[in-house]
Amino acid sequence: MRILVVEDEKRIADFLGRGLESAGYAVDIAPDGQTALDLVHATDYDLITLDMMLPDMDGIKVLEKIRNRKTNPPVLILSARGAVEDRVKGLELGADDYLTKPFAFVELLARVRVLLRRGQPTPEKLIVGELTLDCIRRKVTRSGDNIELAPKEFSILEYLMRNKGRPLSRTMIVEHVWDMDYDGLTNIVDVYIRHLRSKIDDRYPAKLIHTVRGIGYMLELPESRSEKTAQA
Amino acid sequence: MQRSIFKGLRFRLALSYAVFFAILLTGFGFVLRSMLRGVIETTVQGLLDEEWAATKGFLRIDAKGNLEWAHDPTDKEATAIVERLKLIYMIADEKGEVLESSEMYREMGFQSPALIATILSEDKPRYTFHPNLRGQVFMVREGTLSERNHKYFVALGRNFTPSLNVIDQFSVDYFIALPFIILTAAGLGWLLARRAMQPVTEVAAQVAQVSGSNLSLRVPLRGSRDELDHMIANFNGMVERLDQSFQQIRQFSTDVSHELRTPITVVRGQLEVALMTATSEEELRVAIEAALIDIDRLSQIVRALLNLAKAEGGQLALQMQDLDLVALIREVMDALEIPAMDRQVILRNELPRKAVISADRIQIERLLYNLIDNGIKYTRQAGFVEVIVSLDESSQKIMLEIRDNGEGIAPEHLPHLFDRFYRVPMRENSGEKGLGLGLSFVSWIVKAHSGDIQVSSKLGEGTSFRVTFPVKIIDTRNQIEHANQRETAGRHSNS
Repeated sequence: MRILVVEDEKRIADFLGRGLESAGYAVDIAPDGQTALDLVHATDYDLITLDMMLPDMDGIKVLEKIRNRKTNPPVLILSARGAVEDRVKGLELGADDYLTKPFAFVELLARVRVLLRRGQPTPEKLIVGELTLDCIRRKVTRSGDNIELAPKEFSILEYLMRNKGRPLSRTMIVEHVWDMDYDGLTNIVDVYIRHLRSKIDDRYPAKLIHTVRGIGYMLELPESRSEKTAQA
Repeated sequence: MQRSIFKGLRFRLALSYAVFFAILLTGFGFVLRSMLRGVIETTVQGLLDEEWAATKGFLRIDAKGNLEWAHDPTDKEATAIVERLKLIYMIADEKGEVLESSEMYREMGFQSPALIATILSEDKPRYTFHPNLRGQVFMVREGTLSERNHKYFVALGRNFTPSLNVIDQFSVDYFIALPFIILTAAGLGWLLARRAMQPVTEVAAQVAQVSGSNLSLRVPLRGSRDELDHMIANFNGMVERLDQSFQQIRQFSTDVSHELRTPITVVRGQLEVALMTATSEEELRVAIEAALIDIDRLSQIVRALLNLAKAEGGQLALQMQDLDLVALIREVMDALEIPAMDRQVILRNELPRKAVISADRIQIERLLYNLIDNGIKYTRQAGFVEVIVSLDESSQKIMLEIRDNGEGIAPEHLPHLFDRFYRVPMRENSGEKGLGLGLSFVSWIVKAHSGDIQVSSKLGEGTSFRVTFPVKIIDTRNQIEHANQRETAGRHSNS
């Protein structure tokens, strides 16, 4: 997986590069728009993080030019402009996600993981161990038991299952499920997760929903979790 | 806002209209009444004068004081005139003894001998009013008739009561009609006030829309060039200024948040990534040190912002004192000598012996530091920064010029140079980035000292800042000092 970091502030580019590399990605850094376009032209990137204020051109312009090409990697905008209009404008112009500076690196990492997963075909039925979610009939069962979920609970569970094994931040869940800027109200996610857990996990010995400290939540089978830790 | 009809402009307009009319018409009534009386009196006086002339024609008085009304008894007309004359009259001699009088005159009573004597001593006739016992009023002409060296007092009267009745009738009619006229006026005033207030009400609705919804809206002028249009123009001007300052504030907070976000992102990211990836204590140490540098920068920004906010909010009290600008410039140049030497920039000056202005020492020092330090930063190696103080003869102001032969500033950036957070995009190797607040502070300092600042620049040739201050004392005895170019770059000769 190869990521292009377009960022003019050298120290931000530095830690982004180091951080992403340590997470197992190959990283190129472009300090301005022209370099970014040259690099995109030469290499197929799996993801681009894009700063909106570049010394030579507006990030929006870079975004447009990237979108005009055949290869279409997901673009994650990193901007110091946090106003809702800026966010909407960026997303409308074809960015896949938008993160306002300052951000937590783990949050960035979580978003990068989810964005990189995109484009893979989505099955009608999501299955994690004995938990099944039917996206079309909107039905959830665990070990054959029918589980009744409220619409929001269903959406959160679907999002978690689609990103099985990837930590999702509270903000990501809010943005995905509520489809809006719920900044500062992320506590709502904890409430819904508590409800979800009582319906999905509490009656069963194997817990599927895990809290990831510093980020948010992740859905995963306990076995694979222990395998991972064993590997580490 | 609830508007009471009795407090509204319309009501007050109509009311004052009515009150004004009431006072005016009452006064007018009295004036009219006295004018009417004056006219009538003059008419009656005229009639009395005619009768007097006739009396003089008919009346004969011999030496003994015997009276005779000389007329031809067969002349009917003359007889009628004499009869008419003798209706109300009285004739007395110099001693005041009544020689002849009519019945009607007697009812009024005679003049006292003293009064008669007084009248006889006067040349002019008198017109007086005398009531009789039946409540009638007569106008009496008292005059002197000279006959054979004797003077006789002759009084002729006419009944004035009918005339008084005319005047009274007029007054009664007038003052009965008055309330109706005033009521009509008030009603008319109410209607007129509505007409007058109509545009005001309309404009008020539009104003409410502007202030309530959108400051970019303007109230359209009505094109009548009246007071209301004047007010609308002023209101629009006010909204314009409000809008501008709102936009400035919005821009400012966007800028501030941007300025603060970047270092915070850096600090946070560096530390987080170090925590994730560092394998040795040394790596952590490097990350922490880098973070501290950014935190320093953050606190610099916060401090500078605070100062600027204080200054612009008027909380920064200036300690004005007589300040020798020349001495201060020398101090600042001394202090900046090392950084200048570091960049191999020559500092030179051209200063008079003394130039005193009324100023706050700390702020002027800050201004000098900012401008000279900027010059040093943006000047190529082996360039120069020159400080010149002179007296502008035409305006009698002290002119402080700080110029360099550095990179210069492109013309499109010049208008924004004093804006907060405005940084001229620099070539990459220019090294440290300023906060973008220095020049906006300089501009505030200059304004606070009733001065003026101007900048001119040419790309590749250099930049010149010209500041003018009101002068107190200047001693221009020549003390021109050039850079001491024989010595190391950056030293100037007064050290």
